[in-house]
Amino acid sequence: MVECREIVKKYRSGRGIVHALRGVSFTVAPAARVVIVGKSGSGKTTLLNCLGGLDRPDSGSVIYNGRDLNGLSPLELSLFLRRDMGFVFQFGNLLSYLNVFENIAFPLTLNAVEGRKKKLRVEELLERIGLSDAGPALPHELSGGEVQRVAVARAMAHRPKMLLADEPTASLDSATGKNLIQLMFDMGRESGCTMVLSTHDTEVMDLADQCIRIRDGMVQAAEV
Amino acid sequence: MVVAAVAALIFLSALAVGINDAMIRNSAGLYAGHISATGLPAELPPDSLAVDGVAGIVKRVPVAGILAGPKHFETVIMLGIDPAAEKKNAAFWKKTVQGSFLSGASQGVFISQTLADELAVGAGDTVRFSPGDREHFKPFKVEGVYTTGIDQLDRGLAFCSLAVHPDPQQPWAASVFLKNGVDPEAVLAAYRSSLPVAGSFKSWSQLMPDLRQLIDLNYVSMSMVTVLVFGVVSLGIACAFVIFIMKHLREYGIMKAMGVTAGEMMRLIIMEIMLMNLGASLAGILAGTAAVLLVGSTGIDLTAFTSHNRYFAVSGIIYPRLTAFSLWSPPALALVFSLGSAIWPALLVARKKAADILKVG
Repeated sequence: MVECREIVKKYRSGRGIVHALRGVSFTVAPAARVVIVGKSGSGKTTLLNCLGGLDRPDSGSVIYNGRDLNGLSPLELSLFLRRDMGFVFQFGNLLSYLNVFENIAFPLTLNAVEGRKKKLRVEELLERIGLSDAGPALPHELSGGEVQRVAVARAMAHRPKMLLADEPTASLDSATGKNLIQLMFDMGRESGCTMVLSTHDTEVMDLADQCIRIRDGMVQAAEV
Repeated sequence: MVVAAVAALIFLSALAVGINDAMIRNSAGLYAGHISATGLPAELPPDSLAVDGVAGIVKRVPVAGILAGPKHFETVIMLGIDPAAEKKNAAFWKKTVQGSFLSGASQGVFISQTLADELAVGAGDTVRFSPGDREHFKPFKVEGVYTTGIDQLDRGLAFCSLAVHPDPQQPWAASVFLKNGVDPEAVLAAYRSSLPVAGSFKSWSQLMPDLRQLIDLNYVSMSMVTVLVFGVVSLGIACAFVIFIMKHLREYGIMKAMGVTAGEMMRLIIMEIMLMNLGASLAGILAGTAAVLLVGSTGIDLTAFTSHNRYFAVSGIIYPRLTAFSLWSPPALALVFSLGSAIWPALLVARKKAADILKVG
C-alpha cells in the first residue's frame, strides 16, 4: 500500500516560487490501477516524482508499505527504485546506445539477474508486447508506439511492486495510446503490480480502479 | 581535439628527440666521437677499444711543435692520424675549403683556415714542422685547408698521416664512435673493467657539458609545452564532455530513475569518457607515429636555420625519432587531463536528483 500524507512541494523559478503541490493526500491500494488526471501544470508530474522517490517533498511524506521514502539514504533510495519501482515517461524513455533487448534487460542487469534468466525474461516480454523480432533494433529505428511499448516492458522487466507512468500516451495517437494503456494494465494485473499513471485522456479513467483529479497542486476529487 | 593534440605532440616530441640526436651526432661525429680518450700507451692497439656498441675508433698521436710558413710560425699540436679511419668515422674532413684531405702516406698536412691565414700559406704551399726545437724542421706540403667554425678545432691543430708523423711512439688519443642508441656510460664501464691501462676516458656529455645542458633544456621545454598544450586542450575537452553529458542528460536521468546509484553513475560517465579518450588517443598515436615514420625516413632539412650553429656543424637535417617517452607521454597526459575534465560533469550528474535531470533533459 502507498500513502501520500500532506505532500507539499515548491519550486523556485524565474517567475518566483511555484507551489506545485499544496498538501496532497491519498492512499493507493496494492495492485490498484490509479489514474491521476489534471491539466498541464496542475502538479501531476511532481506528484508522480514524489510518489516514486525521484523527488523529495518539502513537507509531508510518502509511505510505501509502512516505510517513509523521505527517510531513505540516497543509496537506499537507489536500491528501492531498482527493486520495487518501474517508470514510463512521456518521451525519451529508452537509452539511445542500447538496443531494444539491452534496454529491457537493463533493470535486470541492475538487479544482478543471471544471464539465462535475463534472456528468457526479455524474450518473454518482447513477445508480450508484440515485438519479438525487434530485440536487435536501436530505439531510433522504432515508431513512437513501439518505443513506449518497449518502455513498458523495461519498466515491468524486474517485476516491480509499483509502476508509475507520466503521461505515457501523450506523444501517441489515441488508438495507439489506448492499446498501450490496455497493455500496461493487463501486464500490471498479471503481475499484481500497482499502477499509477497520469494522463489528460478521460477515456483512460474507465479502465482504472481509482481516479485522482488534481488541480493547482491540490486533490480536487478522489474517486474509486 | 584529443586526436590532433596527441598526434601533434607525438610528432613534436619526436622532433625534439631528433634535434637532440642531430646535435649529438654533429658534435660527436665531427671530431671528438662519443667517447674521447687521452694518454693511451703506444703499445695499446686501437682494436682493444672495440667493445660491444662501438662503431669505429680513430687513433690520433699528438706532438707539440712549431709549424713554420715562409714568413711566420705558430706553435701547434701536430696530430698523426689514419686518413682512411678518419674518413670512415669522423666528419671534420668534409669541412675542407681548399685542396683535399690527407690520403695514404703522403708527406702532407691538413690545417685550418685560421692557421693557414696566420702562416700566410694555402693548399699546395710548403710548411715546416719541428717537434719542440727550431733545429730539426721537416717539410710538409699543405694538402688541404679546413674550417669548422669551432674555435677548438680551428686553432692550434695540424694533421698529418701517422706514417710521416715525427714521433709516432707518443701516447695516443682516441675518438670512439658508437652505434645509434648505445649509452656511452655502458661503454665507459666496459673500458674501466677491461682495460688495464692508465688513460682518461670521457663521454661527450663530460666533454661538452654545454651540449648536455642544451639537450636537457630541450627536454624540459618540450615537457612544459606538452603540459601547457594539454592544459589548454583540457578546457576544450571539458567543454566537449559537458556537451556530451548534456546531450545524454535525459538518459542519465532515466538511469537514475531505474536505480543507478551516484557511484555507479560516476563510474559509468568516467568509463565512457576514458573509452572515448582511449579511442582518440589511439587514433592520435597512429597519426603521430605515421607522421614521424614518414618524415623520419627523409628527415627535415633545417640547414638554413642551423648553418652557423656549432652543434650542427656537419648537417642540419633532423630525423624525428620516436622514444617511449615521446610516444606515451602525450596520450598519458591526455588521459590524466581528460579524467580531470570529466570529474566535474560526472559529479554534476551523479549528485542531481533524477527529477531535476528529467525536468531539464
